[in-house]
Amino acid sequence: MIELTWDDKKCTSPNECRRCLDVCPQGVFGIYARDGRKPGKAASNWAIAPMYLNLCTGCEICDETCPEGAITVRVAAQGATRRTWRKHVGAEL
Amino acid sequence: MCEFCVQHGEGKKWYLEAKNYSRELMNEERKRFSTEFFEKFDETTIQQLGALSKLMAADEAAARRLFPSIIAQAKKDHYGQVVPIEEVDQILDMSLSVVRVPCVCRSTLRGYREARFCFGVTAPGSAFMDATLAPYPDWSSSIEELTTEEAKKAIQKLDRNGLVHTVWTFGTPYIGGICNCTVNECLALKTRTRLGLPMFFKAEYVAAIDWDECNGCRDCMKSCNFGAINYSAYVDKCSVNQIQCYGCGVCRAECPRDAISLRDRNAVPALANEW
Repeated sequence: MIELTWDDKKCTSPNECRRCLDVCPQGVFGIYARDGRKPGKAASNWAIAPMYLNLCTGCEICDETCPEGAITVRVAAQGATRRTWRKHVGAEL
Repeated sequence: MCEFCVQHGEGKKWYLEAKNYSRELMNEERKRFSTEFFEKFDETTIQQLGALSKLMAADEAAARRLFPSIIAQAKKDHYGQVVPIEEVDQILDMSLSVVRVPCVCRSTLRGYREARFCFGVTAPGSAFMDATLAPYPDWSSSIEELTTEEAKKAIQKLDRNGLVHTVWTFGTPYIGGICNCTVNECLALKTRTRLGLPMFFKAEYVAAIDWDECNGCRDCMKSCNFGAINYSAYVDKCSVNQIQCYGCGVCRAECPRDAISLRDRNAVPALANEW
């Protein structure tokens, strides 16, 4: 099992950092605004979420790259195919 | 012909029919759909694709059983087709007004907010992409009006850089935009090639490499987003896998021998249903 965990408290400025979005070789992640845009109001309160979780290989490049340690990868067994995504307190999706 | 040509083109290419860009099609329902499409793009795509990909990871067969209904809905709301650069030029020659805007796929997949690869097109005197995006501060300063010539030059350059041109409906058959895609940066291309869920048609064409002209340099392979070009080392020649090919035509610009051409997909018997 490959378990990805994203810590909302440690991921302080995803819209400025964006490193996990860039470095993941499979492009697993996406970014969305929890406070959505409205006419006259820009989107804000950004969060990272997986768009292509089934493409995750468990390579851990996201874990190695994240400067805040907000993404961690735990691989429970070799040849893992089951992938999960957990968020710590504060995230919603 | 793809089913849109049959339904919305009277047997001709639907994306070359002026009526599919006309303001008569822009009714309240399409306006509402388009506004919500852009306003909630990141939230919607992450929720829907996120859920689908999680299901694929857990139970691929169950996920695939959902594909036909997802595709059927997308064909009504927002579906695309690959078009080669000559047809992009023909579309722009229909004297549509053109705006260039940041690509919403890239903003969601990578957080790039100024990746200005997307071109809104609409009948002269009416407004679509600009009117839809203008109320939002995220985009209002990035909407750039272009002349037809400027847009053609910009997209021709993207073609030489190997980007795939796609037209998109906002309430089929109304065409609101032309985007320029890569497999990693476009949700539609990525979702089709990696998940097998087609949210657009291949082009009305398929590429072919002239055997005599080909010198085996393999430059064409560099630009193919779909892995549709194969190399035979023994004879030092490339060939196009027609079943993989999407007919985008960007390989042609790479070939130093002009050995690649686009053929009518409908004239190849086994490809007539390969969309």
